Amino acid sequence: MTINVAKDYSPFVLGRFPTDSLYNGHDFMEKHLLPAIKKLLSGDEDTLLVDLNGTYSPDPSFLEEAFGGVIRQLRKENIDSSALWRERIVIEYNEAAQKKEIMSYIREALSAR
Amino acid sequence: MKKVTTKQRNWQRRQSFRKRKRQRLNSGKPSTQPLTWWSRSINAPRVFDLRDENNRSELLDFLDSILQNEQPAERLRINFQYTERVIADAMLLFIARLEQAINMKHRFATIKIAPPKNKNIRKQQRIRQVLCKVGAFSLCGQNINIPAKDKTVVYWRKLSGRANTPLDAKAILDFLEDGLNGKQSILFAAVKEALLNILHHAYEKNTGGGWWAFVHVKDEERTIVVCDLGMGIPGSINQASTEVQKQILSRTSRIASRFGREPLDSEMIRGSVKYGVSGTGRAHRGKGLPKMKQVVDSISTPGALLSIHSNKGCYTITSDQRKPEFQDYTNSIGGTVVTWRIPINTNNMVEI
Repeated sequence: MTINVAKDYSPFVLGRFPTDSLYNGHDFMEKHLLPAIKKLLSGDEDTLLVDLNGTYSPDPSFLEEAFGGVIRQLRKENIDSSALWRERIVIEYNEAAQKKEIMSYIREALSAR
Repeated sequence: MKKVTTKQRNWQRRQSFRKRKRQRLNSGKPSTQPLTWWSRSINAPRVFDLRDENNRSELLDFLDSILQNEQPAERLRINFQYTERVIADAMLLFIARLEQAINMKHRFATIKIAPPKNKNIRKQQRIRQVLCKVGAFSLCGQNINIPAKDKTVVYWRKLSGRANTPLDAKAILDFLEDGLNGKQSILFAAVKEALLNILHHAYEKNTGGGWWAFVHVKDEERTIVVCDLGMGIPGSINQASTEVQKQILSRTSRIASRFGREPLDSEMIRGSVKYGVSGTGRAHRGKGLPKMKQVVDSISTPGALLSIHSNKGCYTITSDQRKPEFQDYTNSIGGTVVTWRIPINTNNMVEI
């Protein structure tokens, strides 16, 4: 399963919440990322590829709320997603520095209590 | 036919004006234009600059005087006859205050800008072009169009918005007009973070307020200036929860507490830039200010700059001198003005 952020959501993403912009991290997490991860958990899909190529400089607020936010949301539902992030979810992005940043947000969210 | 001299022509004009004035007074009809048009006229300072203490004081006194009207529905004239030099951050602050004053419709019937009159003096020409380029005339409803020809003026653009209105990422990208690959634009990501900071922290909840931005796009250098008229970084930290406030104060003002004084505004700015603790106090928030600094830190070539003026404090870091500089002034600017200058070339596409 692939989520192409630019095509499936918007190339012009900005901010965390709808008060920040129309295409924001929380909205993307709720409409795309969270349902996709739940499909992984239910066994409907094997792997998830999140492709950020084609987006225009997603800002740290968007990235943190999308990737960190989905982990926090799953934790509220008592779901530990650490194994999924290690084995079945792949982030595809040509910008190595921002990809590294996304991984740090995921690690921080997984290690937070 | 005898030629009329300039002196005679001017005398005839004065006579004609006096005649019309007498007729109007005697007619008993209400005047469409008061004989003394301006209730108040104020002079803009010679230099628009926030860095030098004297220039800053003069500028802030001028900005405060805009709102010191003595009567309602005042007709205010702002005279730029004596202005010789403007720095971008100070001019943006003026535009923000001007727009704020214009929005106070009950206080001002009209505000007009009087540009420098002498079109032959280069400094005055430049000021006229700047005033047109930054939209000062159009804000005041004046139909004055002065094409920007001076190379220090032509590449500037302005964008503004309200803090209680969602941002439009595409409009911001168009505004930046990143001729390089916009998809990997460091500046685009950093500007978005700066504007998000304003939306989240500049104003008290539900009060709204504006934000203003300039961008200078030329060759391989970009300069962005972003301004708000909110409570400032020190104010937003003081508004935060006690735990967050203690966290910044304990980290950045050990010296202050040792001498029994309150932390300075520059110390608050330093704390926010260094530790990235947001006003919400949550660990995964507050990425904006550290990100701005990281951009400048990661640039190897000289010429990059980050300058943050907030209330009375100022924080500056450049890629030439890695050690940041701090200064506290007598007067508060009543908000925050952030300036980035970043050299960009294809060999130096900095990773954030």
